[in-house]
Amino acid sequence: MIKQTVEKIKNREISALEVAQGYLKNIDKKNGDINAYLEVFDDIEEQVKNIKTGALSGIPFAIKDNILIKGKKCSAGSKILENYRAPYDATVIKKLREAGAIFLGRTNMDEFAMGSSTENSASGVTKNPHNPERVPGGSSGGSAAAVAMGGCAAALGSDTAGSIRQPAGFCGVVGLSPTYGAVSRYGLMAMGSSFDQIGPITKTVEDAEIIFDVIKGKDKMDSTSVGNSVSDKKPSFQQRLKIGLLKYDRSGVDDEVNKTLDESVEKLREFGHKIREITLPNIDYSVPCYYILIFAEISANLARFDGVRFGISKRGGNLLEDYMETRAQGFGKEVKRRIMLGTYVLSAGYYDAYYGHAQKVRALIRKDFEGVFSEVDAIILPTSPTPAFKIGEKTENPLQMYLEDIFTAPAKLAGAPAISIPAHAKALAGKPAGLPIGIQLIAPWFREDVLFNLGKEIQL
Amino acid sequence: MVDIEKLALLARIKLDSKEKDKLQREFEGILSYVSELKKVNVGGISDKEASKTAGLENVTREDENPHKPGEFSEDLLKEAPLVEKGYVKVKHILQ
Repeated sequence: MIKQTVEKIKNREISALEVAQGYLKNIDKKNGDINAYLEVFDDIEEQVKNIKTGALSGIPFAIKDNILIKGKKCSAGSKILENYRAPYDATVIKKLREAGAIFLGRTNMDEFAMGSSTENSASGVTKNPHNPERVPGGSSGGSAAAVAMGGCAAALGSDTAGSIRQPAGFCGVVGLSPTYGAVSRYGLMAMGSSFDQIGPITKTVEDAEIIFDVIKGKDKMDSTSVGNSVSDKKPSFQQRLKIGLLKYDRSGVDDEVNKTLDESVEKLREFGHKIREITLPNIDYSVPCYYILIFAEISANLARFDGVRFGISKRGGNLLEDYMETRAQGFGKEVKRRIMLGTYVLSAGYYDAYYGHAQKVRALIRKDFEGVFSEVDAIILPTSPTPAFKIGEKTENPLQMYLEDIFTAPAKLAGAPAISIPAHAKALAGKPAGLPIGIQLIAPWFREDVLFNLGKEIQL
Repeated sequence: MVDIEKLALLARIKLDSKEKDKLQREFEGILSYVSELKKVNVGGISDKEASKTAGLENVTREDENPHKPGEFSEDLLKEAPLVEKGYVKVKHILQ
């Protein structure tokens, strides 16, 4: 869809302004209910006048509220940054702009990317465009909803343990979480520095590929970014692969999800790929391992929000009280909970038992993936254990929400790239449209090309 | 029992008594869940392997080519809540 739109604009069949206005009309109609966008920028016409020539010329994007665009408000869905304006562009924003993209606005998210439903935002919940009683997923729920509701051509989100893939799955769109290090994190508000990646959320796999090619690359401003030529060696589309079907406890997963996975596997078989069952021996420990590590990284990354250099500032009797008040009033419940837990697991006497141990388990899980990838070229598994749940359904107990990451966390522990592709069980044909279901593919490090090639074969 | 009061001070977050009680309860559930990890035998993993998170090596560069003094100051100071004469202003740190 992006390629065709860029062509049409180039051939003057349609103007970039008309393309943008089309999306703005949809936002006008739907955003009041859905609340995907926190802010629609007021300089669209100005941006359109200055479009550069490139693979994304004239393509309007929605940007998650934790990616910095110079001069624009950026709040990570939090009250503590409600008045913050970005003093610089994220590298991905610079790259998109160089390729001709324009930015329609910033999208809602779970506060500081902590959550799987976008219910933790300081600016209200976002609704799933397919069903207003249900969540769009999180933390990039606003971005996924914006794409699904026709409010942009594509969006950027960020993924730490599933925050692109899960909302993409819930909203029936494509979401890519790149290899750790493939895309620069400069200008992405950090949550889990050893997990975070920015990635595209799009209608089609082709679109995700075009955007990934633009935003990827080594960046001197992010020393964890890696320039890598592996994904440039694209195998021919005709190449038949060995695909590992993850063995998991099917009784713990929604029937529709299991059915959809099996039918996606059949599609791949029909294309000539070989399917075999694989196991990741330590996969059951992925969620607890991830959460210990992420609590620790969060407590470190969010220490900077103290009301001194940026953000809201609340005063007490002395400097310590300034910090205590600012953070008490600026952070939401989930953020406070995780900072506290992180402080605990990193504290003297507990560091080795929790954090040190979890680091070793992480290395084990990475080894599991290395083992599997020595035998297969890709792994197929569900994106989430269920389709989109109801708003309020999982907010009682934090653990319920954490368990949403059961299929998305493993790839991030290993740093491997993963994509969620919208799929449907044939069994649903004839029934009223069910909720979208995402099927996930995981590839070896820097082999996003494998994800794109297989994704094109199973996407609806 | 986890000392929520001490943690809150370390985390620099003021909590009211209701929040403290709620967190106290939630902590137990969450910690007992993540403590499942203790069951994993990590004997085969060295400290070096464990520290090589995400498979990357640390990189360093020479401490050279700084930007011009003041080049970014205006943009950055604009975001600071309290500024005086080009400085970010805070209450006293040391007695």
